[in-house]
Amino acid sequence: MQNTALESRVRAAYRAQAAAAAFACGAATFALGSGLAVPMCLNAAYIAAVCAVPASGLAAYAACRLRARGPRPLLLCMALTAAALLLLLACAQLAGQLLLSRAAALYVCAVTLGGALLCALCGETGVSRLCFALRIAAPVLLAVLGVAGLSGQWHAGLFPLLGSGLVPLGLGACACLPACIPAMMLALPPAALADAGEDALACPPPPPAFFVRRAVLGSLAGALLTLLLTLCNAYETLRTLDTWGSRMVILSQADPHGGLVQELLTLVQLLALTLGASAMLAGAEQALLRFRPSMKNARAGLLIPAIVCTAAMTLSLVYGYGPLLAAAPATLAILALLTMIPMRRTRTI
Amino acid sequence: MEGAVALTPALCRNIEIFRARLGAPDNADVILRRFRSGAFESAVLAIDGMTDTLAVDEHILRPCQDLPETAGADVPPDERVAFLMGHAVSVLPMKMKTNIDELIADALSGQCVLMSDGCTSACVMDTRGFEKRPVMRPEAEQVVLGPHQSFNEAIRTNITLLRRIVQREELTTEFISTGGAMKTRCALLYLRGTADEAMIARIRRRILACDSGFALTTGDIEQLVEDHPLSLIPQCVTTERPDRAASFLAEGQVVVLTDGSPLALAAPATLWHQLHTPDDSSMRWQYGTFLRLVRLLGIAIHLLLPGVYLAILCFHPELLSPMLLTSVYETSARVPIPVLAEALLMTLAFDLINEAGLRAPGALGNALGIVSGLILGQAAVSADIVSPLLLIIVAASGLGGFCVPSYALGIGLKIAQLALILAGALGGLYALGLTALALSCAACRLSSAGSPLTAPVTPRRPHNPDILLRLPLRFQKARAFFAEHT
Repeated sequence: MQNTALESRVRAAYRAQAAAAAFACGAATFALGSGLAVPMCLNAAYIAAVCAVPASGLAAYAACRLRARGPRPLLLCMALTAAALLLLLACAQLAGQLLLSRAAALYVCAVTLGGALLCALCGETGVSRLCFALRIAAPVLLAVLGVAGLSGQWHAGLFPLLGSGLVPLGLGACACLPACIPAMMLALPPAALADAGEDALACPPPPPAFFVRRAVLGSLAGALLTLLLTLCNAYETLRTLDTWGSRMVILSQADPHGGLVQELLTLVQLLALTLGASAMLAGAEQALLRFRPSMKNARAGLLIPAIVCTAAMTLSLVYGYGPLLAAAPATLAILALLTMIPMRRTRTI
Repeated sequence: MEGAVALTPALCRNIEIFRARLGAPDNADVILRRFRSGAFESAVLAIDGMTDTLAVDEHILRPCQDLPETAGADVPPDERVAFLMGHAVSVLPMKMKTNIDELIADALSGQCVLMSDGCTSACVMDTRGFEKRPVMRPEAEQVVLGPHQSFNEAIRTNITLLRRIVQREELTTEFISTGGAMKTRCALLYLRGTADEAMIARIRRRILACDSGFALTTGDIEQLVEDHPLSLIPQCVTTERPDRAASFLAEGQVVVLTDGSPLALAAPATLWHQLHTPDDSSMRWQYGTFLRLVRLLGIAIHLLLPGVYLAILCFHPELLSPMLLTSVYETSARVPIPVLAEALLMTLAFDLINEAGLRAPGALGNALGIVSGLILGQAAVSADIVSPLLLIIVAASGLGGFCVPSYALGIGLKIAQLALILAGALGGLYALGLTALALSCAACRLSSAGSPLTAPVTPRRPHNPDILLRLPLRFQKARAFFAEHT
């Protein structure tokens, strides 16, 4: 009975971790394909997303091999944090344009970053289990809403996707690296196994094909979502827009039915992206704790909000927002304090 | 006398020790009766009102006093109590003890202590006979179909109610005394061979580690043994129904009964245990599934409706039809306070009415509902303090909150609702969604006695099709979920 329970726990923990990696890969691929992550290849962003699908699989395979040998935790932490921040800034940009058009930009950033941090504070276990629970519901909901919002001339949007010219195409193919970084979170064992004890950690993980399949499926979902949204009623195609972050713009004024579908589609899309970013942040924290095991809860939790604070302040300096918006770092500092409150305190006896 | 730990051979010395410890004769509840039992002297110690004095008289005192004067003359002094138990006393449950602290604790709990001159051990007999509430209908877990019995404050009665349902030789009752100066008697019940041994040991360890100085109730024990004391969601399930507690035992869970508390505590538990009611299983699967879906819809309305309303009003008015939007703005224009303050005020008023209704005596409680709900609500709308649409939304949300079967979870969801209201008002549907996501992540990482709270949905474990939908019983073949998946 004891062995059955242990095997069941180990299998469930790896499944949840793979689901989180799939979410993260899908989110990063979508950000790439919609031109949000790497705007320089805007005209061929979709090529980058398509290339990201097999690249995610290769990255997942490499991560499995690294797990056996032992990854470099600091490098992993930095890469995952950078990828997560990139994705979160893209989310904030989308949210500011589509859902919170009347709110100031840095306020939207603070809301996005705060939400992602609160999710990541629950640890890799909480985020990955939620990803596992939503692994079918999220893509299905996005597909249903996307199909409901398809434009009458949807087939006209297909051709511009592939871009034009060899240089953009080449750039697109090379730019799929950001979408591969999320798969690297598979290089660490799931946090749930550490809670289960030494016996669970000693159990062999599933074969690499288990993780590769899920990373590829997640990335494919991201690429297909980009395709679907391109064909939807409210979004402009890749070809005609050339400013960073303006890739997805609501064209028509929302009528009651069409507007609801658009809002819901944007909301679900953004929440899925944020969940993917939270998974990466949680993975980054896990890597940081591996690097410095003495940096338990409070100190490790302070580092991530501190990095985010710095990014927010830099953004405010670059774009010259007013002092009111400098409250965003204060908001994030409060969130950092929350990590010191034992939200994650667990009884140990 | 203060340093004495074990009984002495001298009966009069033992009596003096008990008198000093219990404050007799000033303490009028203490019964210390010395009598002749055959060839030697004996004494009984009991507490008036706690013990059944008739049983003590008929089954202990009279049979001992009726022994012939030479009875027990050739019995070694240390075996005199055993001699009485074998030849005179006719009380069934009994234990031999020598420790004075334990004997006093047993006497205080209603048991009778029999000592004899020359003997260093005493016999503790279960002669409890205090007044207790009869087995009545459940107050908080009423069902339409299904049994109508509930636990009461007597631990022995509660164990009996469980044993009537779970008639299995593996059912084990472990008694534990926990607490500091004021010990509380608890019983751990589990099915030997089904419940996980490590999990039983963990729960036992946590209960024994309680050192509070006051009498513990089930609620106190729950707070002292749960894995995440700061979480909004309870990690154990409490029930006042024996049939529900019996189903927990069959699943491999441990049921904890506390003397003086009419609730049973079961651990480990999942979130789904707190969303299911016994009616779901007692009814046909179609009705059970329908009612479960209605309940889930009610919970979703309770959590999300006020926040969604505020989000749409403040950030996404284009989602409302022009006619509805005009009506909302017309009514809101007359209200002098911001819509967020209005929503929080109405939610607080609803919670105040609930709380006052609970505390008010019976007849007043009914009148309170009518006065506050109808008159105050109507008056507030007429005075343009609140808008009628918001009143309807808060009322609908409150009704949805009453659909939560678990009272503790209902309060946790009320607090979560406040966070969602704030998020909706400050950041629209986006912030509302992010907050819901964060709360979901927090729920997913919780555990109950080491077992994930959101299992078997996530992490996925083999289970019966009985989580969201209640499918027919013939599909529900998996047994003892917690035995295999702790």
